[in-house]
Amino acid sequence: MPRFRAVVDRDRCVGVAMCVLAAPGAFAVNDEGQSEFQPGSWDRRDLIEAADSCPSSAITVFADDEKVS
Amino acid sequence: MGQGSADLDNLLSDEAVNRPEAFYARLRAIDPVYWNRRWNGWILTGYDDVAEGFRNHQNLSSDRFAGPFGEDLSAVSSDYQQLFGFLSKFFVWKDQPYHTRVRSLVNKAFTPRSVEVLRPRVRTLVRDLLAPLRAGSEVDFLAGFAFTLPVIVIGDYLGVPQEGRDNLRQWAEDLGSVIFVSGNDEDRMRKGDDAMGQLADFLRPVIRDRRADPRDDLLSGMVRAQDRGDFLSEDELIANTILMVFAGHETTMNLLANGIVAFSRFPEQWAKLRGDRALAATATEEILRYDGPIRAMARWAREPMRIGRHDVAVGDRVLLVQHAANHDPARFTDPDSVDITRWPNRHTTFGQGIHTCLGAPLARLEAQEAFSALAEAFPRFDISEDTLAYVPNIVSRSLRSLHVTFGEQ
Repeated sequence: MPRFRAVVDRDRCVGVAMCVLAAPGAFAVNDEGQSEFQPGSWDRRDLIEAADSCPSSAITVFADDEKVS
Repeated sequence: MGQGSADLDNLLSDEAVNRPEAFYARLRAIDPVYWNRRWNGWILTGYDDVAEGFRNHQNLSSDRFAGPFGEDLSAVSSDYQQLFGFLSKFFVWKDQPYHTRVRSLVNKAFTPRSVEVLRPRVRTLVRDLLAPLRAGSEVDFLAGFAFTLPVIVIGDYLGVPQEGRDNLRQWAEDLGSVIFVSGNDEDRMRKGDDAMGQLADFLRPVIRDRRADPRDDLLSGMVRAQDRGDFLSEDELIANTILMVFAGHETTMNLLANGIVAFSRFPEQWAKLRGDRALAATATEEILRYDGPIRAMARWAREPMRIGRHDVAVGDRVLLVQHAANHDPARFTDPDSVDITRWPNRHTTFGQGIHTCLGAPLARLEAQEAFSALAEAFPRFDISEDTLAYVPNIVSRSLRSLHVTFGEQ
């Protein structure tokens, strides 16, 4: 099983926090009001849902090192 | 020149309405967190405070029907039940959880990825609307172009029937005068109430029709989500459709018009865009920053808090002045000039945090296509208003009139 992870582009994220709803636990909004990926074992579908829900297109999802969304 | 404090308390003075960068710069110089006795609240004009204010939805409420704004309305809301019945369901004016429930329902339809499919359609529309501008005579840019483009785009996307669109501008105007203006005079409220009732009467059968016979549009999508159990009542659905129709064209219209004014002041930037239309994306961000369609958004404090060097009490009003934040020299180099290559450009025009403008990606797309096509078609243009006059209100930055003559040479 590949390990799924997400990267949040800080130049784009404006903190709408839709990712927090789409993938519970996988993202948290930090003190600067931007979303941060929380390392862990996350479901691929949830992370892709978070990327698809992002109003700023700020989230990229990787399977190991390969970009998947 | 009266520069006393009374003048600075008047958010509807000629200077505040027509030369906001000058007015808010004066406020910012005195105190970026300024107590306005007339508006009876704090006026925030510094970038960091405004941005932080948007992000702090926990302490700064958007609820217009509670706190000090609710008190203002309680005296009149029972007289205008259609108006306030629907306005009170606009998710933009609510806090969590209602806000987020509605937003989640429509959020995915407005992501950059989703709206990108509209680009070819927008491009065609822009080309069609641009044709009459080529005659070389003076045109009403608001009615002929800036209003028409967004109202068709949002109408198509939502699935609002064509027949209603002729009425939309009047309804929108009547609603806008309630939504954007403070104070509760009777004539305005009555018109807003009528407009809201007519909009609801227009949309109710459409929504029922989509339930029986779904199509590939956002209204059908919302009805489907409702049937799936993401519960919204029919009135909540109608209210938020009205919100999207309204927000989807009024602001975009003003963005396009304000852009034309901005480029008329900086013709070399117009020439630059004409020379390299790949700059349309950053140019649009710069127009949004320099003179976006929204001046300011209001909040009120749910918790005692500290802003700048002031204690803000529970129930205090707080005005987040985006226009001022976007011209804060502490954040933007040479803020009163247009530079279409400016990047990064983290303006506050769409807000930040959970209330960030839902339609931002669509507004961007429409403005990029419009500015790009106009710059390609017309090397120059002349604005034929003696003085540019803006509608006197605190929230929107909208011209009363904009007549322009476009030139192909």
